Amino acid sequence: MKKILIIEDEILIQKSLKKILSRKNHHVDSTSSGKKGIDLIYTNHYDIIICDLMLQDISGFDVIESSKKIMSSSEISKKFIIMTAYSSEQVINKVSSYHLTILKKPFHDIVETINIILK
Amino acid sequence: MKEQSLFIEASIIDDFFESNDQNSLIYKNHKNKKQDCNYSILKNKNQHTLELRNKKQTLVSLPYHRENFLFIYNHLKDKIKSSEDSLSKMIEKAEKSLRYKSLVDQSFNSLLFKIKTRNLQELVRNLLKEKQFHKFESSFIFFHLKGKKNAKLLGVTWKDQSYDENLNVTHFNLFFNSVKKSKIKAFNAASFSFLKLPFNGSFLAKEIQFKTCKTTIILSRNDFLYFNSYEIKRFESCVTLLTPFIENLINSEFIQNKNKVLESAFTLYPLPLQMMDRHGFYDISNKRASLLNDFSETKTLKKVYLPFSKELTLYDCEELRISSFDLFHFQRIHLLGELLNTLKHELSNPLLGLNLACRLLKEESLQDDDKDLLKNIEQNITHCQNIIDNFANLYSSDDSQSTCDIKVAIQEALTLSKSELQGIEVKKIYEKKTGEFLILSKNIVVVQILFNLIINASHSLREQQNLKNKIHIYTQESDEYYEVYVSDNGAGVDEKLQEKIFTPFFTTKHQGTGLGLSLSKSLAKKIGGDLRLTESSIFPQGATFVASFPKTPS
Repeated sequence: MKKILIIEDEILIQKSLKKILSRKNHHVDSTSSGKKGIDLIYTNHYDIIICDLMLQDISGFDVIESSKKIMSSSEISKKFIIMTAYSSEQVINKVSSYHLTILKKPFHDIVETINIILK
Repeated sequence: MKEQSLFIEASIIDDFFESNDQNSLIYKNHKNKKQDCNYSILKNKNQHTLELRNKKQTLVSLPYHRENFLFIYNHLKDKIKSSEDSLSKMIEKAEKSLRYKSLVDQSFNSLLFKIKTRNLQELVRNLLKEKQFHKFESSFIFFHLKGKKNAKLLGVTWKDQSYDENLNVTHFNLFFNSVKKSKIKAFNAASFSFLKLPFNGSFLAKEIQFKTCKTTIILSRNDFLYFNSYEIKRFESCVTLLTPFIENLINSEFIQNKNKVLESAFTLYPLPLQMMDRHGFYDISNKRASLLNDFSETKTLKKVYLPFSKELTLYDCEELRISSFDLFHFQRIHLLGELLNTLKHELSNPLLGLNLACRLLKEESLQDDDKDLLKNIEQNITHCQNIIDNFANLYSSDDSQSTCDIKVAIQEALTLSKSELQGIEVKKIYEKKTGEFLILSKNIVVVQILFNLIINASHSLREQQNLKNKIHIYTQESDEYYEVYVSDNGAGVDEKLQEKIFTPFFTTKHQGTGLGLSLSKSLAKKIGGDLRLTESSIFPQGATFVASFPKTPS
């Protein structure tokens, strides 16, 4: 069982992902606010953090930057999974500078996506 | 009054340098009427020299530099003003400065270096690096251009931080006037508390007044000690020396801002332009999206000269009248691209959510008809996603080559235009019953071309109000190409218009952009094919377009 955090402001995506992952017997927390997400990261220990780039309050990169205070960069690249619909070159370059896994929305194959997440 | 001819404005110096003629400036000494005192500065571009000569001979030849010109010019001016020094002394000075450049007064030499700094920020920064000012920590230039809303305070605060702030003009004037009135040019920051100056304690300031601008130069050590007279004198003489360059820099800063605005305006201009600024030409057409090249390839590139130094004038080439109408259409296309991108991103997220939710529900133990319903929902979501992707891809600039099957492309184009095709009978006839029609191109390009053709056909049919509206799409294979015919039984294309329909912005529809066919044609050409109007035996009255695509080498 893994402890997973989902930070995503599109409520349907958040809920469905949560449900899919809980069904596979993982403990899942979710929030739609980036700031709340940071609070959760500070107070809990997560194995996987799935984070959207374009949140309503702050950007996904802000979440990563704040997490740097309590995690090493290798830990970050291991734990964080970035979801984004904006797959412009700039964004991808920035994500790869953190050595993060990136999930491009829309997911074409959901089963495969889940496998990537749980890897 | 006699010396009037000697006062050369900075603009004349610029003209002298930037013009391409071999002209020379000639100065006459009005006080001394002997011939040998009339001399000229001759520009010799081939040998890269500036020559100072009188009527008989070349007196001195210096490398072709603006600084050297200023040097000769300033000395010339002084010389004629006083008319006491002999010309030979002046030449001696010039040669000395050239030969012993390193030995010439250090500050003067480094000041020459500063002339090369291109902006004010750099100028004040370099001022601090100056040996004689090494004790100072911050320097500023505080200026107000006539007609501007704000005065500007530019400079370096202590710890080498850049500072750039807009300040109230009345406050600036108060400051400027008190600097002007003061004789010793040393002040205390406390007496200008209304300005909230970014430094403390005593400071030195000197005012310079230009035609278009009031300026003060400020130096501060960030302490409360008094300045000695030596420091003040050096500061004053340094500012005086710098005056002409400061004026130039301020002017150029002003022009730079103007240019930025102009440049952005011209980057969006719908047709290729070439700009010329004071330093030469540069082409801005390549900055604009390749989109432009797509529908302007029939037009040759024309140069538009834009003398930035003077009033803005745009010389349009004669055969290419650019109307505001074209501009309007270009902007519409630009906007459409942006709109589609936003739409894609805004819709993708909720659709993904729906898709995921459907997946989840499907795993619940539901009745069969409920499952069917879910399946339909899912199909529709995928369909929506595809439509959004397809439209957004039309404007993406991905150039990667791939192969595509025409059959698939036709089907996709028909799906996209489903709503437009209501009440129209569409028939697809493939030459080969089986197998693939593979061509070397991206699927989306072919879909776009066919989509445009189908939409055009459907529009012309709608105008007709015919009961039996038909569109036939059929293929033909030649050695190198696959050809796709899109034929309708509408009114056809008027003979007079046949030549014009592929021109950008030409349209017969009230709400058309006039870009559909021209864009399709340039797309087809881009992938090595073509798009033509042709005649068909099926619908002799109607319009038939044929798009040819290069086959993949087998």
